[in-house]
Amino acid sequence: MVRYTIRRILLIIPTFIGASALIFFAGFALPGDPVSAFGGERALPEATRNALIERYRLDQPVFDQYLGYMGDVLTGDFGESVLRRRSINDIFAETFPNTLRLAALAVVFELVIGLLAGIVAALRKGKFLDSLVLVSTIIAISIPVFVLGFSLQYIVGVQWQILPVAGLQEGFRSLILPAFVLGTLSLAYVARLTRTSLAETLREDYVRTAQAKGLRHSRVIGRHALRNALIPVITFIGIDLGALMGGAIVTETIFNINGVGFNLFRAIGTRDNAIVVGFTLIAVMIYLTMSLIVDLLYAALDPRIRYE
Amino acid sequence: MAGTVSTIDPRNVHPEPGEPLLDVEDVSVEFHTDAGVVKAVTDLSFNLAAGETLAIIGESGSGKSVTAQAIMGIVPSPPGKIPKGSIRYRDRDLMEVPDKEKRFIRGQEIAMIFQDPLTSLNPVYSVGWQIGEMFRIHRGASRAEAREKAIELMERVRIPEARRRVGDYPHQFSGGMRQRVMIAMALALEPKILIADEPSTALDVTVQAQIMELLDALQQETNMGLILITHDLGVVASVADVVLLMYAGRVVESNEAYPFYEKPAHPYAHGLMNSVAKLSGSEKRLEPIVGSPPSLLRVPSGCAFHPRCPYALDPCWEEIPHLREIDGYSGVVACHFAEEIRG
Repeated sequence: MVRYTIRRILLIIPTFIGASALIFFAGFALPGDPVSAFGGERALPEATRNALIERYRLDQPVFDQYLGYMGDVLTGDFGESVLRRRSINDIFAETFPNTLRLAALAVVFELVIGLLAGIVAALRKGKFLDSLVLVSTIIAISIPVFVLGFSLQYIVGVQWQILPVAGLQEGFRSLILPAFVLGTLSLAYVARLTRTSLAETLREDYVRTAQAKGLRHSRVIGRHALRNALIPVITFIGIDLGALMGGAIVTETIFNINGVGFNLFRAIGTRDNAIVVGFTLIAVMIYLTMSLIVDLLYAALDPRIRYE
Repeated sequence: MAGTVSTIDPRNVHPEPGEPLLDVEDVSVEFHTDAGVVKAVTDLSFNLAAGETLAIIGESGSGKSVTAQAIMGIVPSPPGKIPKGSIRYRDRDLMEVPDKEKRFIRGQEIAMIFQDPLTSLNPVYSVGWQIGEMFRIHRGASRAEAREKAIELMERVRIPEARRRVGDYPHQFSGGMRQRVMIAMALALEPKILIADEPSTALDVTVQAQIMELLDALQQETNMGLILITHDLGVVASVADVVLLMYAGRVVESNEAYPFYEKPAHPYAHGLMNSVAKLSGSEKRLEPIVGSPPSLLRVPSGCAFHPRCPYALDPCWEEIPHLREIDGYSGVVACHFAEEIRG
């Protein structure tokens, strides 16, 4: 187990190097240069221009710039936004909590509604409730996020006026709609995954053994079947949480939430490469960490994994 | 090891040998599928007494495993249905008793072990947890008590180093040891009846013998009634008292084991005997039974065995033969021409 963990952690290093190089060089492939963008319409005085170039190492070859940047990243410094004159770390620290709250609530929706729907469907396989779950999840998967977002804003926010349309002014209440929109797609996947996995598990011999032991039906399902059936579901949700924590560009933008995705979207528009590269790198790190946790969790949930 | 018997549960008294335990009468089991009604078991009757070993023999699809499920009350429903018959355990009708009592009988009075011990054990719980669950759920034992009981049982089914291995998971055991775990779990609450559904089929030959010996020894200790479901005639010969031969969901022959082996009456039994290799005697070629077992969706008319029977005549495909006694044979047989064939 320890060796597996170490090997798994070491694997993160090449993945991170590859991802960071891709992101960094992609930023350079974009037309325009950040110093002229800083000046906007007016040309900058030569001295200012040189000072900026010097400060951001822009006179060095791309590869050296990358190495220099990565050196800073290793010390925990993700650079500085030229446009906003703030460190990336600061901007991230300010926006990440909003994204985190949104992601956490979205995962709660996935867990509660998705799992419940999946379990009910599996236990009533072929019956009305099963078909209802199958049809509604297909619809949920098919609707684009922005369509769902705008529709819910209009119906729930404008027509019924039960929840705020956008922004974060009303705390938890403000998060309900965007979190639901953000979680819908994964919720549908969770429901379907749970249904398939549980239906398959219910046919396993050890479920029959549990019945033969004279256990209550609820215990046969809950302790013996679900404990096995939920292993793939939990790993899916873990990976999904990793992805959601990296920022939800569409949802945060529609609902005007000052989160990682919202700022990333704005930075792409303003060519603020430092934010784009910095935020994406942090998102990659979060994702890699989550998938590491999920892998270790998987081994903890399924004792057979450790020895294979 | 024999001394550990009564420490499992001192309140539980073993039945006297010969005490009637189970009375199955006229039981039929059907499965209603999209393709039609599958008659898995038809008009099955038998008795089982304490200390007795009943072997139910048949090919795959002959209804022997469904019989076990019916007794345990775990026929998957839907699609399974038991349209008629009664299953009596001691003074209780298992089809009538309320669910709570059914659960009490299941596992505590009648226990079962299955064919494949790897898939029959839950992969995510330690074997100690799974054995101990019987004591925690049915006897209200604490975790620590349940663990001690589990170790005791593992020692009783002769799993080496039980104390060290109690926390191991099923995949860490060999096939034979897994089946011992299953047996330990089944015997946890001293059931009066143990149903063993092909307990040794998935194991290699030497391990098969060990498992059968173990079951035999445990039966000697506790006087439980043993229902042994198998297609392995060799296994049956060494342990069974009574033999029930099934074909296409019906019993076609039933007798005490010794006369059955010496000279069975049903052509299907002959076929089975001739298709088994023997160590002693002639160098006769093995004779397989031609054809394959019928689909239970479309059981042949009359005697279900007639398409494969070398002796089949007109009445065989017109009329279903019923179990009857014949002269010079101690058992019952369902064949129109049993006298002539055996003669």
